Amino acid sequence: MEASKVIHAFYTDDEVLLDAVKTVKADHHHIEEVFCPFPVHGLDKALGLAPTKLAITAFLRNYRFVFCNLDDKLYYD
Amino acid sequence: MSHYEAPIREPLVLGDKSYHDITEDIAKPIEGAANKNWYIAFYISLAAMLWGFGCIFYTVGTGIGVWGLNKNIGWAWDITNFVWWVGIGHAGTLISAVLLLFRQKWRMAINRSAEAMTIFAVFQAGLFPIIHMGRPWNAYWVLPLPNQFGSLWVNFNSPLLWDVFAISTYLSVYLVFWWTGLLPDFAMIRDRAVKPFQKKIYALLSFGWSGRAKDWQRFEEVSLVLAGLATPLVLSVHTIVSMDFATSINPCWHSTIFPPYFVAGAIFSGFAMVQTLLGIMRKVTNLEDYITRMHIEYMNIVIILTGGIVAVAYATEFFIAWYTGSPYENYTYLSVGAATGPYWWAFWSLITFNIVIPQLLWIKKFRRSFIITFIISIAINIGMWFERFDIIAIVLSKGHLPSTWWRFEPTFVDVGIFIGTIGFFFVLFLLYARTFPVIAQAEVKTILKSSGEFYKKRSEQGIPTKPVIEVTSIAAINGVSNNNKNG
Repeated sequence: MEASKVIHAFYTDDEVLLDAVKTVKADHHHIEEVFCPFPVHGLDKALGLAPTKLAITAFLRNYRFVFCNLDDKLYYD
Repeated sequence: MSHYEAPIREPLVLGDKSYHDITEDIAKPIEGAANKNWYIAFYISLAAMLWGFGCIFYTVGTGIGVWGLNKNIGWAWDITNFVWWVGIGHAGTLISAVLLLFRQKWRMAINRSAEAMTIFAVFQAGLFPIIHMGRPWNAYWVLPLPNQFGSLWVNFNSPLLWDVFAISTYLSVYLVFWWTGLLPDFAMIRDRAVKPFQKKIYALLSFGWSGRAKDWQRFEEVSLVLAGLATPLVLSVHTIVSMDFATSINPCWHSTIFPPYFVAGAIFSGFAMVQTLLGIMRKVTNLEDYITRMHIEYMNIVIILTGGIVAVAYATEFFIAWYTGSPYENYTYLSVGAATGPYWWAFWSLITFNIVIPQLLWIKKFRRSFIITFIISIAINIGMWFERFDIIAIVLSKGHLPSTWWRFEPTFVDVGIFIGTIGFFFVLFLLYARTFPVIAQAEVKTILKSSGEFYKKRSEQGIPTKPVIEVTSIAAINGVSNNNKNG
């Protein structure tokens, strides 16, 4: 098996990089990581990264802070 | 084509720039030596700052009596300067939060400096209420903290307390917003740094940013969440500042027009200060290709709009003061009495600098001229200072009884502290311009292909933005990769 072969590629263009990611993914190869100096839109989707839950977490944490912590506080005092 | 923009839009990045050119241009002021102009500006600001600190120590050591306040005018220059500085901080919120949500690409060249200006202006604003306390070492008493004084608690009915919450929320949200945006740019400087000490500092500042796909995904999400959180602050902070006046029972101040009028005025003065600072900065740091005529014109359009709102508010106040028929209203800051009374010079400064001069921006040629924009922006800064001075000093100088008619005369300490904060502000801004990436280079790179002059011309000629070469180089096979992630 040749499964342990590692390739490091260096791109100078975001569109070429994005196409390459799509091609490599279509061929079912594993992509370990992609580093870029600026955000490339659609790269996370092309890589198959799970969408982040940061926004909803920020909202729920705020909700809990406002409604539950204040509630706790009332019982404390 | 993923990078497409209508040809009718003017380019936001001028010249024949590649991605690497952007890196070079933005890293240059940090990596190179400061020029003579920078040192001259820095030492003048430093001298002003030290003079201001001297006046602050004199005030704290001797007492508030060294200011020109009297029994009728209990706050004058300090609150004028406080409101002026908070207002200046407002453009940062609008540019980075509201324009981000509206997907305005032109904000990318100016948001970093507008946010820096916001933070530095809020520092100056915060100084004034703290000094006015007279015992600044007790400043933490304004926070609702558990204490040993029995049931002593802050007064939740006071707008001054709401100010504490508003300003501290504003400052903390803005520090986070600013720093998040700075992370990839600090990482860029870190990866280029040659001196070990410099590398270490920028490594600390960039919080270990690597630029991997997940980092960028999180980065964009956090920017959006913070923009959403910061947008209400555009309205809330200056609304609460206006309530320092509007919730009092003083006629003229007790006015429902104050919150919207203060918010518009704050954005008006904030944009004027951004114009002043960027007018200097683009020359000093050679960033003329990034902060273009287009940016100046867009900001001038915002200035016309918010300046128009302010002008309508003045007209309304003036008309209503006259329409009440109350003789007292004839002494408020927008009235015939104010225009012809002892403070006529303050009244006419306000009208000239804030209403008359900004109207020149209706002319396209003036709106796109750097010099005229710079002069008008300074006029607006002066005009907005007079607005706050008029609201406070003119209104308070005439009470209901003639025995309470008392004018405010600033002492050298009042003037010294104000000059000191201007010096302090410029000291911070000049240091920032030499050590921080002043343009969000990572964001500007994302619009290079759609809004860069070079690529725009190519796409008009039908040349695709995507190069033909597939892979430039394969760095290593089965081995260690090179570590070049940013830049």
